[in-house]
Amino acid sequence: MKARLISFFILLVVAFIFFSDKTEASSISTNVRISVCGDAIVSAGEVCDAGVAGNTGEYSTSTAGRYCSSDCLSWGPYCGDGVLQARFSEECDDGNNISGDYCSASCTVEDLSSSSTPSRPPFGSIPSGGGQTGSTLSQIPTKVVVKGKAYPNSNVNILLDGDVLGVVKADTNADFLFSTTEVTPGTATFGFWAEDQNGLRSIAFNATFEVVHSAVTAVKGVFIPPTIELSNKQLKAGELLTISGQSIPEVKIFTQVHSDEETIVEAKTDKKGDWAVQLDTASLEQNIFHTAKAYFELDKLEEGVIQSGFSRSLSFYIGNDKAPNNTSADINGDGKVNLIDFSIFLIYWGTSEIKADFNLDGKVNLADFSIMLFYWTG
Amino acid sequence: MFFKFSLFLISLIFNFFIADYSRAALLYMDQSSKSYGVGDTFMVKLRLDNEKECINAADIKIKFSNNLLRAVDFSRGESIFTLWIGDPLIDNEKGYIYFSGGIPAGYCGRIEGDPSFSNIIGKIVFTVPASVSENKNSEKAFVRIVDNSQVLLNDGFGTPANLKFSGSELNINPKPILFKNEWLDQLKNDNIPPEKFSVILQKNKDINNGRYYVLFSTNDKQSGLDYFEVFENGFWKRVNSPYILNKKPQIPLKVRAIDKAGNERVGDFIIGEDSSQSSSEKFNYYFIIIALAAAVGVTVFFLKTLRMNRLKIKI
Repeated sequence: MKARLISFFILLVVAFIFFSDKTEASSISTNVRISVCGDAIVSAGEVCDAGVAGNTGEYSTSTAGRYCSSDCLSWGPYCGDGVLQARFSEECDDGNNISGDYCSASCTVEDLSSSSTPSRPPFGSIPSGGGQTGSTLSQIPTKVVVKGKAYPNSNVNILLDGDVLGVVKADTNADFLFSTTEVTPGTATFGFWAEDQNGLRSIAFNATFEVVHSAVTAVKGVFIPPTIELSNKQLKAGELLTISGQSIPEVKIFTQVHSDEETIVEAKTDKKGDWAVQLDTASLEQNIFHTAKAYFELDKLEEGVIQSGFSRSLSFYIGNDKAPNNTSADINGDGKVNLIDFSIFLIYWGTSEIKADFNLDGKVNLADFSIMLFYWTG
Repeated sequence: MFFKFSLFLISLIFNFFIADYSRAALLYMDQSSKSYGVGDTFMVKLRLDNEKECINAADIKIKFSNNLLRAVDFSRGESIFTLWIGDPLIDNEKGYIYFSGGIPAGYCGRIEGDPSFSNIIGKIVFTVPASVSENKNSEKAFVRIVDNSQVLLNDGFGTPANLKFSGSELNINPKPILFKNEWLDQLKNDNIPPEKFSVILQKNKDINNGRYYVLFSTNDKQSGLDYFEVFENGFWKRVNSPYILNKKPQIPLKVRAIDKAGNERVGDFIIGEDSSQSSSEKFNYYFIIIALAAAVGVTVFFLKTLRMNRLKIKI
């Protein structure tokens, strides 16, 4: 009986390893995190947060009374920050609020030769109670700040609820920063896609979240998956297929080829962000379509290993027969999939019009709508 | 024998608890209370827990107890969907609500740190009709998602997601409780117009026999978008996008979006860059603008010259 229980337990462990691996293989990888500057909670990535009314970034006469800046990433100037700020009437600042060390608790010079001499009040108008008197609390607009990674020197398109909101350029390290106040509080979906230096477009990456009224909503970890292209869309069995693209410089790229059995090929991007792998197609089943998609893995010391989501999934055909044509979601052929294509799509909804029947099943229906939304560029 | 049985049992457990549960998206509902009385108006929110799947489109059919509840509206405010295939349909006779919508590039779930769940698909506004007061006892009303509803994965192939459903069961009291009207409260608090949008004039020889049409789309994040109107022949007319025109429109064509609370916004008119209008037609627009500018310039010059001549005569 005991032996049976042990064998049952061993099988349970084996099964757990097998099944858990299976479910993890296709799960979504997301590194996106949100912090709301103005909710009085110091979230990861924030230095301080005293709420909407408290994040004024104004000058304070003490460390204890210092004000958080409007982006929650730093403190406003204060006596005790070790920076001499004459514009706020500081005569000295030795990085503390202790008197008796030649610089008083209120940042005035102390003459220690006569201990009876009281420290003089600072010149100018240092506010009482820590902040500037008479100043009104600055109106903090509803703002969204996004930080992420795309490809070196690439143009990153930012979409708000499917419409293009702006384009920013990533730097040589593939980092980009975008901020906007053109956003209404409430549930919003920010989309991101980029075009690499070779003109290849990424898959669109979405983040849906609540934009908080009169606060700065900071979105970090927007990592756009690699771009991907194939040397051929139809090959004979045994020919070499080159799969290439761009991503962040010097990261690992894992390419998954879906066939009867899944194949994973590893590569590394160079300093420009380019990557390429070669796949021997001899072992792939003939006369069917196969798909290839890639993701990157970045080892950040402070955050551990970070994975992107999957790139666009590209299909290729192995065999001598003529491959069936795939239709495009870009109905009007302008190089974009946007509201114009959607409006044409609605005209064909419920018909068998081939222009809008992307999966060629003879009907223009929800599946075609889903395919259009997948390829959306705004 | 024991080994085979163990293997079968384990595979059964894991197929149910890991394979199935980890890959199934959940459509569920919530509302402010479990009990409502005659005269109450309340909202049932349809939410999506995507369970690691990125989804991008849905076709939903909802069945409700039409002897105890009356669906009076459907709000798209706070929805994660931004594009809709037509307006949601409410059929109180049969007790059904239907709608189809989607989100470009997909919805991939709640983001760490998000202060809200941000997973509402839509809100159904129900009222408890006076006819319920004829009942002697309180009764159970249901609102449930019909099994053939679909949610599709954002995978580029239109693959249906593995779905689970969870509806709502409500106690309906034949007497008034508090005369709650959550919907009216929301409408009163909404003073923000729909989001900015563009009205794009298009013409394509392959579509609608080459007739002009305009397209537009926007959202309202509070009470939700209600309808669009186009200004034609001196009055506003309710329309849907794409709106096909019988003749070349007067430019700029005005289209306004109105939300459920009555706030409105007029769209920015754009002549579609990729419309297949001929270059001669485009030239006509530019020619009219240049001609008008020239006419204004000539008139100003003429008036100035006339004034100078009069002054000279006086001197």
